[in-house]
Amino acid sequence: MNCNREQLLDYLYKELEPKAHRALESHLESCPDCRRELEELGGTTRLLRTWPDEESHLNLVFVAEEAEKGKHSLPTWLTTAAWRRWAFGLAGSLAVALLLLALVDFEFTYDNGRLDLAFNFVGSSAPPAVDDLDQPLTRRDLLAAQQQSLELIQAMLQEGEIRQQRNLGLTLAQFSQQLERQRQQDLQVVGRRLEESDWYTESRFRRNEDVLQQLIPANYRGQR
Amino acid sequence: MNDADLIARFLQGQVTPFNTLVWRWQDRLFNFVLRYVGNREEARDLCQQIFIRAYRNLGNLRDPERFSTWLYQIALNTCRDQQRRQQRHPNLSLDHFEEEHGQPHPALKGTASQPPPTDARTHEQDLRDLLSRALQTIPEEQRVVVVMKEYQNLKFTEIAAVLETPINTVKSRLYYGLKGLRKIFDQWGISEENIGYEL
Repeated sequence: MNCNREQLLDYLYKELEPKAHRALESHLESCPDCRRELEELGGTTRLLRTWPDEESHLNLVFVAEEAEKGKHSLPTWLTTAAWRRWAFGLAGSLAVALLLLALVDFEFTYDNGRLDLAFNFVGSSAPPAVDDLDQPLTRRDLLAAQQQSLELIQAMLQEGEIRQQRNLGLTLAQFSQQLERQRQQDLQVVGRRLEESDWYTESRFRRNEDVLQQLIPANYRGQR
Repeated sequence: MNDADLIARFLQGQVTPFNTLVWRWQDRLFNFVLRYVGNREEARDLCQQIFIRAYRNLGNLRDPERFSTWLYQIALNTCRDQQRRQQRHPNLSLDHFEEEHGQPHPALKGTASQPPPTDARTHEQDLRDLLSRALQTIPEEQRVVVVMKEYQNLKFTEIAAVLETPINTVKSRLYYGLKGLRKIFDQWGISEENIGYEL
């Protein structure tokens, strides 16, 4: 098998088929260049992954387009400034007039050539206006909106749980990586200390040997 | 309920399924854009634009199973549009001073073209900023692939579908992107050893 950069990347990201994976592993055993390359690429990706995902805090919610259109659209003849002023003035006056009429409970009757006008102040016995919410169509809309809100809340809760689980998984994976890295570093430290200790003991033995050699007389050594 | 089901319900006239899609994708998309542009506020604005574009154009998506690819394409196009706008109307920055005067602005001494501070006690936030800055140093087409592979965990085939590029080109861009980043990390003295105990 020859050195292959693309396959090395597939191996790094675990996208190789099992057979190709095994073949590359055996190639790595005999190819120091590929081993070095893989270690370098792996080191770079490990560094990049130390930047964990962040929360977006977007708070973005879309509403039905019809409602938006109703809010913003104006008839074209109201677009010029003069007309707009005039129209708003008229509408304001009408609104005030209607409000006054409603307050005084105005009543107008015409019967057999006779015109009657009657005024009554607030508190008359007129039947209350029918509440819009009692209309069957509006109630259905309300129920649909409630249902949609409920679904959105349920979906949000589900997504929240999924995100929490994902974050937990990521945290555990990071913790495990950190632990492994620390373990390897500790092992390296222990190894270095053992080597130093070994060297120190050996040098002490050598020194003792030298001292002993000096203490034993030369003629005795010769007799031995 | 998967994305395709939500899209079908949205196309029947309901808005809630689209909000569910937003909830499902917002963090993922935000992290993609954040690594691409390197600025949180800008990333949030871009995400809003991306979802608005998606809302308006979801009816044109022929195959709902390709939603993720389609959404990444919108995200990438939105980010690229933004970068083109910024290139046409660049903001005056302290970095610009260096191009004009041939030396860094005094306020940036030791931070602009110099390696950032990388002592053994590098804080996690500093490290994120360093990685973000490092990502901005490599060419855009390499950065996209590195971000998609490293932070979005997309497969090579998925990246190739988003970019409409052959898989080998994707791998080549990733390879040179990682090489470029390694060079930057070496120049700045960032290694696994000097951040190992911090993480």
